[in-house]
Amino acid sequence: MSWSYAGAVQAGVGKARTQDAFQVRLSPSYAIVAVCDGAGSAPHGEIGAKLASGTFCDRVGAMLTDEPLSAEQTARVLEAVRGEIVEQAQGQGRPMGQYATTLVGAVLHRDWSQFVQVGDGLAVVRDEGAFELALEPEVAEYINTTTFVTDAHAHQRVRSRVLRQPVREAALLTDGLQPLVTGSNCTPHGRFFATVFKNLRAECGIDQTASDWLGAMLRSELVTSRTDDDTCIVLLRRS
Amino acid sequence: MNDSCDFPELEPLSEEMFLNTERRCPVVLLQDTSTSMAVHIPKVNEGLQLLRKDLMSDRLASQRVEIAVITFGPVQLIQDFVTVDRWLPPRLQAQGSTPLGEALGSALKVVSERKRAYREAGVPYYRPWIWLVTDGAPTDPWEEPAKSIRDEVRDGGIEVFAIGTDNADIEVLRRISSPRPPVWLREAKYREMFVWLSQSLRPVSKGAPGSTLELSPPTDWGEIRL
Repeated sequence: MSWSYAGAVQAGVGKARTQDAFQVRLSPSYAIVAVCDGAGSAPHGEIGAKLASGTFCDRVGAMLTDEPLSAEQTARVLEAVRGEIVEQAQGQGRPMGQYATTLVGAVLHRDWSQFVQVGDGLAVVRDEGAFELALEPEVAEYINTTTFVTDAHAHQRVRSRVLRQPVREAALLTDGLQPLVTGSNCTPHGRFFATVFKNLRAECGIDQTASDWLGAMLRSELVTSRTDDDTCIVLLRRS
Repeated sequence: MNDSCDFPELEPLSEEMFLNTERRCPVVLLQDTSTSMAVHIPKVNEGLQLLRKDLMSDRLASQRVEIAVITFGPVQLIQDFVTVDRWLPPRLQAQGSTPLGEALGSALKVVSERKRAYREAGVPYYRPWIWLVTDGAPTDPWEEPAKSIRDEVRDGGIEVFAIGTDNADIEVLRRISSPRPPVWLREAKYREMFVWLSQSLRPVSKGAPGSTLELSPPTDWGEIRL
């Protein structure tokens, strides 16, 4: 069994740098992926997003057996993510909130898949039928905006789900693209996901052409006329 | 550069891949134009031009923020809701008394009609703003409309900002904008005030509908009267 993937990240219109980041780790038996959205209001959200996505993939990879992570293991992973950010913040003498970031992570295994999410963003999956949300969206709160892995109460706001069946395709994205590709109740817009997955053609490993195409898509007028947020998307397929 | 030409083998990008993300951020400018405003009206007009200019420099904001202008008195809907990219700021003139009560009622009415139109058209919208500027005490019954405004604020239906200057009655403004304190406009800094309004609306028109307002203090043009 092997995995192929493609991903792209793009700074919002008028911004010099993106605060979104993603990481992918592949092994013969599983794929680990994380996408993170560093808060626009956090001066170092970009670093937070890179640390969080990298740490998530590393820690999950180090812990993983043939079974999904237990709730306790998931909590340890997120604690490690937070710990990395604390260390960075302390080293720089800055408050941790300056590294605020969301996280959507996934582990795809031959027999199951697991999704972990803190804050907004989206994971969409398909085996044979239609594209579906892997996790229900964060409950829209009128008062609060979103949750960050750096929040003190983040561990209470983790959403996690194990699908006890194989998943052939998974897409993870940050909230910038979300309103463009999901309809009411966050239903995935089939036309979008079908098209992007058609363009993921490599048999295994990174599909550079598809990644470049995704980057061109994120820079296109079709996207930038609809949002000026940072955007990030990763596609994975099992073959 | 046409990026999609670089990938002749791949499925092309298409409009149909993306959903329409049209949404609206309605703002009512409720502007006192009573006779006593005559001396300041040129600055108000200049401020409105600046408001448009600043919002126009932000493409998404200019397509999402909708402005309606109501002046008093007499109470007139000078401009019904229109997106900023289609808005030509009016040249206001000063005349008449200060029928604030009627003006508040009128603002609530246009907001509720607009919300209904959005709902019927399926257009998502942000919580409407009412931006009241007055230089005098009301000359008509205002307590009942002020209560309706407060009720609507309490129910999360609108955001209200009350700005007073010269002979405005700060207690009346407090009763209108509660729980948000009114702001006292300093030295007829209408230009700075409208730029602040624009700068505050720009992030709102892109955030998730319903997210918390994060406003910078109005230090350049006013004092918050707690």
